[in-house]
This record gives sequence, C-alpha cells and structure tokens, in this order.
Amino acid sequence: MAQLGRAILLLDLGVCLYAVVASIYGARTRQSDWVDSGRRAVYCLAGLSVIAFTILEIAFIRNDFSFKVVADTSSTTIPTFYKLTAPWSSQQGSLLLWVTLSSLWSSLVLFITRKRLREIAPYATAVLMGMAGFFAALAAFAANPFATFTPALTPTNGAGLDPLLMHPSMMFHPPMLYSGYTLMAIPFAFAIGALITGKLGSEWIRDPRRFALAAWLFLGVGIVLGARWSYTELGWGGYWGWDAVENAALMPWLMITAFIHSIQIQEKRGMLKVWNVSLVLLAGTLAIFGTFLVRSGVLDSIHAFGASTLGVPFVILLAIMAIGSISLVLYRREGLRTEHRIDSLLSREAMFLLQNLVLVAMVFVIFWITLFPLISDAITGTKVSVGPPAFTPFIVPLALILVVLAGAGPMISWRRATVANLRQHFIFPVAFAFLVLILLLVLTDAATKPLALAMFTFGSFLIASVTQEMYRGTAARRAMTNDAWPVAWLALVRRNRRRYGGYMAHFGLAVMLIGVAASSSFQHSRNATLTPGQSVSNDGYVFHYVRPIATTTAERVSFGAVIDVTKGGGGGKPGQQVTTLRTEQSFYPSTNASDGIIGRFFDSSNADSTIGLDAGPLRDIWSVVSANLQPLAKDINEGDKYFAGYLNSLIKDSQHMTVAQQNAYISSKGFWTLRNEAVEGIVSQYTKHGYPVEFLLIVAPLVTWLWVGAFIIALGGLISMWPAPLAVRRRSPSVARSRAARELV
Amino acid sequence: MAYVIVFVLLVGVVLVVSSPLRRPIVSAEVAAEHARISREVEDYAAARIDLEAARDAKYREIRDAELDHQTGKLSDADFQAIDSTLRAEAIELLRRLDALDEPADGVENDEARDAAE
Repeated sequence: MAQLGRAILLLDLGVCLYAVVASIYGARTRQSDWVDSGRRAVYCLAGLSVIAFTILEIAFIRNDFSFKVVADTSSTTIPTFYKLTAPWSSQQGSLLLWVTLSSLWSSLVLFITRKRLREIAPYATAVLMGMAGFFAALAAFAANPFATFTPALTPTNGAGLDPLLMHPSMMFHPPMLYSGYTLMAIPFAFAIGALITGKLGSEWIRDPRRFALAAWLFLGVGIVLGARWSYTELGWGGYWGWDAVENAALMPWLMITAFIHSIQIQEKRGMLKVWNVSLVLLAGTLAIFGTFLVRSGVLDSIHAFGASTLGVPFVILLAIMAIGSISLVLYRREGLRTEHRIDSLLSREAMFLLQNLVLVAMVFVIFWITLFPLISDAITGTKVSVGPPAFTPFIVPLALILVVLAGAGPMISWRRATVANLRQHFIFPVAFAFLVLILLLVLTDAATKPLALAMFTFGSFLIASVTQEMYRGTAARRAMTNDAWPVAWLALVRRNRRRYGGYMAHFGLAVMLIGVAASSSFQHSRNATLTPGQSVSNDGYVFHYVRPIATTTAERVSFGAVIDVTKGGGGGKPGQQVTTLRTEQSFYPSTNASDGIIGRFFDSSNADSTIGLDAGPLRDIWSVVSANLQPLAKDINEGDKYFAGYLNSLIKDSQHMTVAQQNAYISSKGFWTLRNEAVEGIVSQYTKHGYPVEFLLIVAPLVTWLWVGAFIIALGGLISMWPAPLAVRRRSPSVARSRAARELV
Repeated sequence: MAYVIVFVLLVGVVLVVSSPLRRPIVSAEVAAEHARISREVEDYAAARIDLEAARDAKYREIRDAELDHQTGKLSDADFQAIDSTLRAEAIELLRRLDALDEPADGVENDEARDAAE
C-alpha cells in the first residue's frame, strides 16, 4: 500500500506539471484541445489524491505501523474516531490533505467555468496546478506520508496522538482551515489569469467570487472551531491568544472579508479594480504565508508542526507569488484604471472603502506584530515574545470603527445619500445605542472598562441598524404582496440573498464582538489550591471541592474533581445550588522506556485536560484541575524499581527463547496483569487520601454570545453564497423593453 | 499488486488526459473547418454567457435601487435618475443579447447557437 501511495504522489506531480504545460500551451496557441486536456489533468489529480489519502486513512485505521507517520502519530489504543483525524496532525499527512482539497476545489471551479472565461481559465489552471504541484513535491520528496520502516524496524505500537489533539473539533477544524486556505488559491489564480490576459473587467471574478466567499466561510468556521478547541481543551480559559498561527489564519480571512465587500463596488460601478485585484493577490499570498508559519518551524506555537526543513521552499514560493503579483499589477496598471469616481462620501461605496481600509490596517498591524519576534531575532539575536497586550491597543479601536461602519453602511444607499435620508435611518439605531449606553452606565460597572463599553454601545447600534433594515425591507415587501410578516421576510431574504445574508453576518459580528468584549474585559479568574471539603469564592460564586475522582482505562489514567458551585448564602445560610462541575486531567501512557514501567502511565508531558463548564446565555462558569501527583511519586518510583527487577528476572529465565516466546512467557507469569493492578492501586491512592490540588476557576460573561455570533455569521455567509433562484436567471424571448419590465417584477 | 494498480492508474490518467487530443484523423481542410465551427460555437456560447451574467448583475443593481427607494434610502428624484440610467444600461445589454441571435451571415451563427444550446 505504501508503494502505491508513493507512486501516486509521483503521478500527482507529473499530472500537475502536465496540466501547467498543456494549459499554457493551449492558451498561447489558442488550441482548446490542449486547454481541455490540461483541465482533465486537474480532474485526474483530484481522483489520484483522493485514492492516496484513502490509502493513508486505511493505514491509520489498520494500525499499520510500517508507515512512519502512523507510528509517529497513532497507536492501538486511540479511538477509531481519532485515528481518522490523525493523518492531518502530522506535517506529511496534512500536506497530502492540502493537495487533495486543492485538487477537488480546482476541479470544481474549472468544471463550472469550462464553457466560460476561456482566455483566463487556462492560466488559472496553470497557477492552481503550479501550487498543487508545489505541495505534491513537498509530500513526495520532503515529508512523504508513505515513508515506511523496514519490517525489522517496524514497531509493534505507535507513539500515539498528542492528547491535546484528541478533541471533536479536530475532526473538522484542520480540514476547514485547509479548505479555506486552498479555496483562497482560486480567486488568486483567476486574478493572475485576468492580469496575464488583460481581461480585467468584472468577468474574471464572477464565478470565483463564490469560491472567495466559500474560502471566507470555511476559514472563518475553522478559526472559530480552533477558538472553541482552545477554550475547552488547552486548560487556560481563553479562546484567542494572538498566537502566530492563529494570526496566520486571521490575516487572509480579514483580507478576503475586505474583498467580498469591495468587489461589489467593482461589479456595480467599475471602480477599485487595482484595489480588488490586490486584495485577492494579498489574500492568496497570506494564505501561503500562514502555511509557511505553521510548517517552517520559524515561530513557536502549539498549533505549529515544530522543527522542519520546509521553510526555504515556502520562502521561494512566497517570493514568486509576491514578485509575480506586483509585477503583473504594475504591468496592467492602465487596464486597471477605474471607470467611475465615488459620487459622494455619503454613499455605500465610501462606507465600503473605509471599511476596507480598516480591515487592511488590521492585517497590517497583525502582520508586523506577529513577525516582530522574527525581526527582533534577526536584528538583536533575541527572540522576544509578544502577546495580547501588543495587539489590543491597535486592534480594539480598529474593531470599534469597523462595527460602526458595518452598522452605518447598510443604511446608506449606493451612489449618494441625502442628509434627510440619513437622519430618517439613523435615528432609531443611534437612539437604541444611546439607551443601551445609559442602561449600562446606570445598572452595571461597564464604565470601568471604557473600550468594552464602547463595543457594547456600537454593537447595539449595529444590531439596531440591521434589525431596522430587515424590518423596512420586509415592510416594503408586504406593501407589494400583502404576505404575512414571516413569509414576506423569507421572500425578501430569498430574493436578495447577497444583501440580507450580508446583513445577517453583520448582526452576527455585533453579537460576537459584544461577547468578546464582555468575556475578555469582565472575566474573573482565580487560582486556588483546595483539599476536599474546602471552598473558595470567585465573582460571587462559591466553588466547593466535593471529592476527588480517579479512573483507569486502557487508554489513560485520569484524576479529577467534583466541584459544587453555589451562589448567595452566607451568615450560616447555605447558598443556592448553581451547578456541579466535573473536571479531569488525563495522562496517556508514554512510549519512552526511560519513564519506567509504572512511571510511563503518569507522564505529565503526555496529558490533557477536560474542563468543567457550565455555559449559559449570560455567563460561563469554567474550571480546570491540575492533578497533584507529587504524593504518588514515592509509590511510582518503588513500582518502577520492583517491576524493572521482576521483568529482568523473567527475561533472564527466558533468555533461551525467541522474542515471541519470551513475550508469551512474561504474560503467562501474570506480569502485565500485576503491572495493571499496581497502576490501579496507585491511582486509587488519589481518591483515598484527598491530596490538595490546584484549580483554575473562571467566571466570564457572555462567552456563549461569541459562539452564537459566529454561527450567525456563518449562516449569513451561507445565505449569501447560495445560488440565485433559477427563475431570476431564466432566458426570455426578445422585445427588450417589455422583457426588462417583466423580468424585474 | 501495487505495480499493477499503478499501471492501471497511469493508463487511466493517460486516456482521460489525452482524450481531447485523440480526435479522429481527418483531412486538413475538414479539420480546419471543424476548428472554425468549434471556435464560433465557443465564441457564441462565451459571449452569450458573459452578456447574460452582465444582464443579471444589472437586474440585481436595479432591484437594489428599488429596494433602497422602497426602504426610504433614495429620494424619488434620485431614484428616478438612477433607475432610468440602470434600465437604459439593461436594455442595451438585452439588445446585444438579441443581436447575438440575429446573425449577419445567417446559417453559420444559427449553427453555432444550436450547437451551444
């Protein structure tokens, strides 16, 4: 199977090279047969890559440890669900996933455009296959997922999957991110094709636009799933740490967000052509830059693949993309001249442009602060670390401006708006935001955090603005059709999917950012060391450590705690029960023999946390335990010594036997059963003695709003992406004036 | 076994990729005629698709302006001006679409249209 996989990777590479050559040759000589042939090569690449990826998945499911990547990232004790996800936890497997997804998306876009964009599509094919070929070459020569051990060196079990990656999000988070990254290549490739051919109207983006929106959607969902993983798995209580790899995904997402807004100006007014093409090229380049950060090992991150030799090839690819893009834009600068100018600063075009500038400024800030450790390392030899405090002074004000623009934009018409119109539309949202501000100042302590207060106020303005737009649109629809409100609203959204899907995304943005502002500014966090029966209070809640818990399974040993949370009480009166939390720290057996026969079950470097969480619409109560194994150390050491001696004696007794016979002999003497009983015995000490353990206890408001807001944004994106009803696109007979009138009803 | 599968895959790839290049061998004149008709069909189809997409985008713009007017964002005067401009542009696109179906040299474009449809 590994041989087959390796051969398919080489075949992939050959197919990519052929597709590049055939497409360019076909385009240059205007021979459509060659262009068709190049396109079919892309379909073949997709088929081959799917086969290769299936082979790898089968190797994981079958525990085929002759595959180095399986031995490194899986083991017999991993649940099948996580064996399926393990391929993309490694550099090698994720490169193959990249090629597979890239080839599938490329096939889809080239199939859709097979009868259009005839001049641009061949060059886009060449660019897409050039990039797929780059990743196929890395997978074939630098990080081959089908590399194998010789039979003599094949281990009987693997090193296992990093426990932190055993989380349901990991089934979807990486494929979503990779889908987003690979989809970014599609508008990038068509932009390059448009620049090469000089076809710089709006045609080049008509079909790839949907793919840009899909890239935005997938990457956004991937980012949020990553945040959810961080919140529920990493045990630090946060969802966003401004980590280099998080930022690497956020930058192209912000850039493509700017693009999907500004392209509407080009479609409607023929404006901002240079800007739009530059945004697409930057988004595509930033997607590869993000991949470089994850895979090169230049930056330390929990999300990165660690040390690697892939940095140089990525730098070369990035240089080609950047220099090529800039050169083509300069070469075509005449053709990219704008057809119109903005009529008025009081127009939706102006709002879009301002919003674009804010988004690009955000990317600029994130880019430089993310790269600062590298720059510092290059200049001073010291790699400084940067965290949230470096980002927030810049990002928060920009986010506030963005929220205001997102609220104002939908209320302003295209081309020009009058002051009277503005007054009519702004009164309700401004009044609502003002009311929220007053209520917050009077009823809460929000004034202590002015930036959060500003976000609540501006977010309320945005929510009111979108709600008003939905209401007015539905009312206008009802005036024409007399439909019931829900029917009229559904019809309105159905007929104007781009507009109202976008408004829904704006609504979700407000909900999400209010959640972010509240949970980050008003979070109450407390570390406490408790023994069973002890309590500690945090933000008005009393956390009572009820009892320790400990379990042993074939996969792991877990130590945890049951915590009762109450509120109120005092003066001898018991508080009101709020929730009971159960949090655990699990230790997965290490494969390092030096950890000892017993000690390998208690390896803290191979552990993960299960948080105790009570999530609600207004606040989350979050807890994590850090198991204190120090009191067990003596028993563990003694166990290691005893079992090492016992094993040596058994080996001495059976030294005349073959390895298989020796293993059977050791098992027949009950060695492993005894070892397991010893581990269980040590684990049970934890519950018997009730040692003091450390907790991190957090009460944070409105965290749920973040997830709900993200869901609404994704829903809005999906509605915007959904194809228009066929009736709108139908062909009609001649007589132009009557046709226009009829089709527009 | 792996070698056999690789060979089968290789043959499959070659067959799929080369199929557009494996046209029946015909005389140079027939081949040129085929190529000419094929180009015309493609030109017709591409022009039609582009114009229809431009028409749909224009319709969308007109609907947007109508919605802006109905929701009070555009005054009557501004709406009249914008709407008449957009409708004139839409009508021009429709005329061009009609022109595509009214060939100057009759038969050839009819062939192309029929083939494309």
